[in-house]
Amino acid sequence: MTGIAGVGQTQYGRRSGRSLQSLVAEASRSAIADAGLRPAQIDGVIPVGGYIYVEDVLAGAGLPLQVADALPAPGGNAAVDSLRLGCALIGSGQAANVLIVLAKNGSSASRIDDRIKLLPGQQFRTQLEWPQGWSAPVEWYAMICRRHMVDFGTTKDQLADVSLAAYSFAQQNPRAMQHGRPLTRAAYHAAPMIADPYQLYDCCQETDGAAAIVLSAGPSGGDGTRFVELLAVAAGRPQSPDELSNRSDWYDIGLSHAAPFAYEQAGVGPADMDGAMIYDCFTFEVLHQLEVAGFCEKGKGGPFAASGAIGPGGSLPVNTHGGLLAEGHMTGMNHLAEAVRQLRGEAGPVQIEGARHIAVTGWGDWGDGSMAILRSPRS
Amino acid sequence: MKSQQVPDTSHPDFAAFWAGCREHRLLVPRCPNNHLSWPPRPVCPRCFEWNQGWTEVPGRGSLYSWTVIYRTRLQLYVPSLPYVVGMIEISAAPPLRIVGRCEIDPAAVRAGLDLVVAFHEVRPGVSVPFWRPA
Repeated sequence: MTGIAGVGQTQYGRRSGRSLQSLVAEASRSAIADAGLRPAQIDGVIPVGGYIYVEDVLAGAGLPLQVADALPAPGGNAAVDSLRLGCALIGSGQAANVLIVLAKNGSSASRIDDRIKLLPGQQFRTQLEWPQGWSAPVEWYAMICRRHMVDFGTTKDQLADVSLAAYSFAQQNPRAMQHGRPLTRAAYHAAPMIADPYQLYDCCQETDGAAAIVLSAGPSGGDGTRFVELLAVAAGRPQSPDELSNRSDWYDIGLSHAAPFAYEQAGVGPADMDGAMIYDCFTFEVLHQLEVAGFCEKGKGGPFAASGAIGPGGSLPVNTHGGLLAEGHMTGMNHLAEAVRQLRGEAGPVQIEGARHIAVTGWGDWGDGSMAILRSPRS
Repeated sequence: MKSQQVPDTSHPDFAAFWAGCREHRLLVPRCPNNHLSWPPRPVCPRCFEWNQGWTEVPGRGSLYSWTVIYRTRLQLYVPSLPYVVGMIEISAAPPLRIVGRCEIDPAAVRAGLDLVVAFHEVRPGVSVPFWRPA
């Protein structure tokens, strides 16, 4: 029974004033201790995000040198996809306790300009897209969002509902970068334009910090009441995975392929999920993934969000930590940490009553995607 | 049209496209099974045969989607803000979509707008396409 045994996080903010190695060490040690393990018991390491390598992790976390390792592709799919790689290390007998860790000074050092140079398909970017003035994720995804508005009547006010839900949850989370900064609908609509239809509050944070989890072959001690079982994890890519212009289905993304596979593996469906942690680089990506993951009908993501379903007290609370939009951009590692807190019953004021199953999604660069389905030890 | 970034016209996957632009023609790759595709790749994404030639497509299309950009990381484009970048559906068989800078008033942009291609000589011998209302 593979599952998440421990989670660890640093503070999130704009200027950590710390090295990546220092952030890695804190999050890693915290996750290992939370799992009830000693560093010597870690025998696998997966560094997430493209900013750090195994060698940046070992000494600071006090790990053995002879660990099995794997390196996911950079981008927003990396956190959930690391669970898949971790399962491969565990399933093949190479490791029993895998440390998965991300650290970045994403606000004070390597901002988005640097990160997009790590992504695939650079020849299309530099030679065909930059000469047309199209050069950043907010501009790429705005194009998908705008067509959704044309096809399905999705509105700016429905995008606002996604942002307002995230900011509302963040007010309950002292770790969130936007804690203490509640958002109103009027302020959402009045914010500066970035890439129409995206304005400031449609966009995620840039963040300094680190987050780690320990994926284990089974509970190592105690009564297992804090061990969150990983029922299934799957990843997928859309047609034309290195650029988005000519997909035969404009809305095809990796999650379109990963979600059905994950549900089948887990033996549960979208109706069984008590909450969802959806990769929210921008507001529309939440609506898009809610549709593709089967939480609402295709084209109905906007009305679903507007119904209050994804907010506090809704039928499917989404990103109860505030997400990338309002807690911080930990490349989705913070989504996994929040899912674990919810399923252990440790989510405090945003606890989803009786949460048994939570789905966590990843979304990267040109729409490669993933889904993990986690189950509560209390179920 | 204001400044546009200068591409590397010698890039092996795109050189023929830029040679076409120099003559104000839009060329797309063609494979031995006569599949047209975009963007240019060494291998046809439909049948996986090596692309072997280029076919001219009409310099007309309609606006499938767009964004109006208010901030950009590309310094050359800062004086043009805000500007429209479109996803233009070209009337080829099958229709192909191509990303292009659009010389349209942001207030007048709408889905299905008919567009024609034009070319901007960004440096002697190097022309970059952009789009205008038909």
